[in-house]
Amino acid sequence: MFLQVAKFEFAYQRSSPVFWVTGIIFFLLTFAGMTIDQIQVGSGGNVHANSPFAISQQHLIWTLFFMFASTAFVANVVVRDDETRFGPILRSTRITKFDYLMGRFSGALAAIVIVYAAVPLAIFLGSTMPWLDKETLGPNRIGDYLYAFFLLALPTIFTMSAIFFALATATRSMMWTYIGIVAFFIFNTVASSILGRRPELETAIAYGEPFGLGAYSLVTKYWTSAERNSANPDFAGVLLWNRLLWIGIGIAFLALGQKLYRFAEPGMSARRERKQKRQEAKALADAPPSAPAGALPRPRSRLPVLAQLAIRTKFEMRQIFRSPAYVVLLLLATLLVFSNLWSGNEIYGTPSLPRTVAILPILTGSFGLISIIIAIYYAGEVVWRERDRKIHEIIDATPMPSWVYVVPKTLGVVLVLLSTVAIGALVAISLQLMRGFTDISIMQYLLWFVLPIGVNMTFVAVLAVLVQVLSPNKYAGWGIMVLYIVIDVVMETIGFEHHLYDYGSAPLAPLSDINGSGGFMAVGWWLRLYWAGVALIMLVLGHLLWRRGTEQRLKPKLRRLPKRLAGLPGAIALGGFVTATGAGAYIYHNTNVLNEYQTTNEREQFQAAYEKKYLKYEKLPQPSVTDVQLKVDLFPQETRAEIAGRYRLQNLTQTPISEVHIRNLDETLKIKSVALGGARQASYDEEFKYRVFKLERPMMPGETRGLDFRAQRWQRGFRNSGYDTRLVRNGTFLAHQQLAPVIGMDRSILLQDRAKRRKYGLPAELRTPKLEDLSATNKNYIGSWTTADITVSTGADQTPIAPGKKVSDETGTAAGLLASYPTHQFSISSRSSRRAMPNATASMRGGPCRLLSSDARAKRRPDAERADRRARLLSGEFRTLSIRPGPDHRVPGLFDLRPGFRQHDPLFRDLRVRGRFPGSGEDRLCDLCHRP
Amino acid sequence: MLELNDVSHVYANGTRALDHVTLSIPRGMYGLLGPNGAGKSTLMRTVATLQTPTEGSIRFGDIDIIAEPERLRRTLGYLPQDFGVYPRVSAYDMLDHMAVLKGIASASDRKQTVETLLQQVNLWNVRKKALAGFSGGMRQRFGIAQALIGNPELIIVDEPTAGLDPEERNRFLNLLAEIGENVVVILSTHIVEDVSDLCPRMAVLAGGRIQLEGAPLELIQSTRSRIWMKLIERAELDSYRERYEVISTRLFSGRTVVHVLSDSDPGNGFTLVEGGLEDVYFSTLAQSRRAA
Ligand SMILES: Nc1ncnc2c1ncn2[C@@H]1O[C@H](COP(=O)(O)OP(=O)(O)OP(=O)(O)O)[C@@H](O)[C@H]1O
Ligand SMILES: [Mg+2]
Repeated sequence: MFLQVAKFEFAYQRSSPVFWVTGIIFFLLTFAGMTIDQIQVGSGGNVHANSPFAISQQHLIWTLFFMFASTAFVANVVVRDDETRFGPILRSTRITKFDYLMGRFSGALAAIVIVYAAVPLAIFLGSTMPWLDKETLGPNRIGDYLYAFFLLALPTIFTMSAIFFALATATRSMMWTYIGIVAFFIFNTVASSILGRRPELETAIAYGEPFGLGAYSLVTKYWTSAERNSANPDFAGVLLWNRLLWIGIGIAFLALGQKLYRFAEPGMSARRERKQKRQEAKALADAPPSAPAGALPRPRSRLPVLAQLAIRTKFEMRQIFRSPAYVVLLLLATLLVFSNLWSGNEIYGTPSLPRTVAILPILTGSFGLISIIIAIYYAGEVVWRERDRKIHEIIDATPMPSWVYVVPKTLGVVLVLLSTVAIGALVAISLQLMRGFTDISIMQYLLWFVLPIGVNMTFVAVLAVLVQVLSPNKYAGWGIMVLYIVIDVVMETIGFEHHLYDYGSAPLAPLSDINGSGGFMAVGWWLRLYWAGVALIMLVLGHLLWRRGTEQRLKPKLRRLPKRLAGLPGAIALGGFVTATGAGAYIYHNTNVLNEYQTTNEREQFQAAYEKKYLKYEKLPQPSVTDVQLKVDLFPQETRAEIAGRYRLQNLTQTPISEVHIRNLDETLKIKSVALGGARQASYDEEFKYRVFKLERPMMPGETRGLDFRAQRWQRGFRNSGYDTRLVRNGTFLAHQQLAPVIGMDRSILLQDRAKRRKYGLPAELRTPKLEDLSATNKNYIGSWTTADITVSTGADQTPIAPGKKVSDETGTAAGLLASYPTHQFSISSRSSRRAMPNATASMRGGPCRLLSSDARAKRRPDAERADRRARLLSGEFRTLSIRPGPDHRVPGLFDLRPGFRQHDPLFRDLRVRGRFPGSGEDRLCDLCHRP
Repeated sequence: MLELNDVSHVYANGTRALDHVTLSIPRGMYGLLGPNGAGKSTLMRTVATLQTPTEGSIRFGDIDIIAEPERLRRTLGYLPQDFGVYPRVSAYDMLDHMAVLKGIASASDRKQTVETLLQQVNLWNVRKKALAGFSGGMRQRFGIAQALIGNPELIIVDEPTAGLDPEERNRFLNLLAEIGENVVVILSTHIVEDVSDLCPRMAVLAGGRIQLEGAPLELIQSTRSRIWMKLIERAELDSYRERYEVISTRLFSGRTVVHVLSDSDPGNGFTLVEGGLEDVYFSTLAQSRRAA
């Protein structure tokens, strides 16, 4: 009996669309991970894409997502009997509970395991694709695949299937099972993000982490690339025990599920029964009104569509918001947001000031995946509600127009999403209050978070609803949406980056306390207008193609589409079309005409070409800048700066110089003219903004020349991606390279990543010069000491700042400041005096202070790379600086910056801090290592 | 009133559920008889605008149902053979909801509609109870009530009496008879009596084709003196089937009553019976089976 049941179940699952859909999705996911260099799982660096390590990692990581798919199988096993109402027939046969449950579970598990075979298959096929860089591949060995599949993936798949099977059998509800899985996912994420930052728990986590990822990474932690490429860890110790532990837990769950499952329908609880009795008694009590005479009222000739819309909307909302699933979902969202904010807003145990601008990006980040999952799930639920309840024939035979279906259902999904967003905002505000931050602006939350995110989510909801309308069943609709998300991500990583074809994408603005959203919201709102037009068309399609009645096929609807488009639907769709094309044209004008649209790939190509063409000049002796005269006129409201300057160039080398190379490294900076005394411009490379000046008479060692230049910086309109946050309405901060030309070639903007360098035919690494190669001492990475005279003018309401001593200050229409000071680098900044920087007034003694920038050049050093640019917090009388590492760097938590530190570690030589020091009353730059 | 012209329907899996059906249905009750799988529900769903026929045209008065389903729905009441309900909604609320969807906007009209219907189908006492907790027959009565909202001109009820107890069935048939005087009511059923009791006109559908159409009385007339019966032993049945055109058999106190169709006296102890509609129905089916 057991075998028969299992066999039947296996055959049933194998013939279901879910089987193929999940198989294909996981195949594509893995295949994309293997064959697209921008997506790498487990490989990278010198670790081969098909190394034992990478194969194992992929097997482990995909099980995390596979959990959602496998649950669809096992939950269906029992729930479908209740849904199809076939259960009572089956359960009254001679089949035993064990055969019924375990037989079916085994059959479904077999199907699941076969689906998961898509992963090794995709890794193998992916690794044979001809376009892959052969250097990133090793030999394919069957043993590696077997190890990963059977020892790493299979136990997880079993355990997860068992747990959620048990949940489904106990609750007999798909909904509760899915809530269970989302809860599990969130708890797991939260736990690993909180516990994962406690190194002392590493081993404990390795034992207890359900997916085996912790155990695997612990045992391979100190492996070299060579080991990762050639061996699998022994299946013993932590790894073995972790797998055994979770298999045990899986079995326990199976047993529990079997125990909790009752063949008979559960009765009503006593409390519910009493309540119902009371209600019935009340109903019986009031007598029926006297039998009304005459015929029933007839409907009026005009259909009350607005009343219908209202009642349907109310009804959908009630169905959604009164369902227990919704409450649980909200709780989960709260938990997720809270834990993200709690851990995201602190750095190695030190909470930072929870300013709204710092919290919002974290908040937005927490909503990415979870809200898409919610949208997809609810779209399926609402669109198929009538059919699932089998009431569709009744409702569809009423004169209610189809859009009265579409609009409330879409609105329902949107409101679910919006309520999670609102909860997110409330959680964030409470966290701010909890941490003693009271300067909370509801407007900021509304304008920078709730509104834009809400609108973005509406687009997802509309799409998810339309997909459900078009798809033959709910599960296919869900599958299509998952596929869409995957394709969306992949498209972006392989270079299709323009927002105009990435449905629903509308970026958020970078936020700052000084500059607010600084006009950066515009691009997002134009895109939202554009997508609103598109969404409107989709809604009209949803109305026209709504599956009404018992017709399953789409074709007859499509045939009637043109005719039904006539009239109002067509006019609305046309309105959407006009909006979309108008906004689209404006966006295109901004992103591609006023600004240059460059994909990441194109940028890399540019860097590679730059290197090929100009790196040969790296060692060419060049004069140094020993004095700078700079006049900078800032027009912050226009995001424009006009720059005129003069360098004094001096030949500090031992050889005569006959060529001076002048570069412009900034995308936005336009150098309008350059004139070098006694020289003529021999060539100008437009693409790379590279000028070569030939001197009529070589510059002898020690000789000086003057170089005059004029430049302009003007950010017009908006770009597709990336904002110019240098020159902004309030809080401008421009350094040397953003203002003025650079003399001589160096490595500063070249490609660094080994794999990418190889891809473009460059040597894998640019090595530092040999110890004996003294030519390198001609240069240092800081540049030479210069004196600078800088005059800055800016808006009347702004305060300009430049290095040095203030020499004069004219107030009036524009404030100016003249500095004359020896410095090795110059930068200017300008900010409005009307809005003080909140943390500028914080006491520097132990209090928080924001680090404005780490020097751009520090970043370029390979060792400095690791120390992340986002150094954020400074406290304890400047003695400690905590630095948050990037995702792939391991940097110890705290640096103790002792006096003299600067001499020992070039890494932090250029980290500077700007703040208002007690007593001085003005902003000052300060090197880290000095105490104020 | 309702004209079906050469209507055929082929399902996606290739089943031809309706095969060139042409029918003209006047005002009043119209009975649709047929065995399981005959295509009754398909026909009714097609008329109720829930599916578009593969070919053919359907008109109701001046409405072309296929081109303007929206217009028909304004004056349609439909009870499907099998339906479910929303969770967490009471009978009263759901009827009220349906009334709005059917275009009854004013609150007082709605109140009158809902209260009247609740009493007519005898659900007044349970009106506050969740529909999901209704018994099969109660749910069916709810279905009947919603089909009558708004005084529709075309009422299509698919096996409305299925699951009703005898008392409720009577109550429903009376209600229907009252309403059915002025509007078109199409009623499908397996119970021949329902049709003979109620319907001035009827059709028999089998294999997707109309096998017989007319007024029950005339149809009964046409079989007059052609139906013969005999009480036989069960074991003899097969040999009777070979020799005579047996249209129906039925058990009666342990023995079998056979009805045969014959223009002349088959002899052998058969006696002439006053044929009822059931005999008409069975003889039609027998003929169609033979033709197939
Ligand atoms: N959705 C469908 N898809 C495919 N075939 C269908 C579908 N619905 C009905 N059929 C087929 O069409 C034929 C007619 O079915 P229909 O439901 O109209 O019969 P019926 O006369 O209402 O039967 P019953 O008395 O059992 O309700 C049957 O052969 C049935 O199998
Ligand atoms: Mg039927």
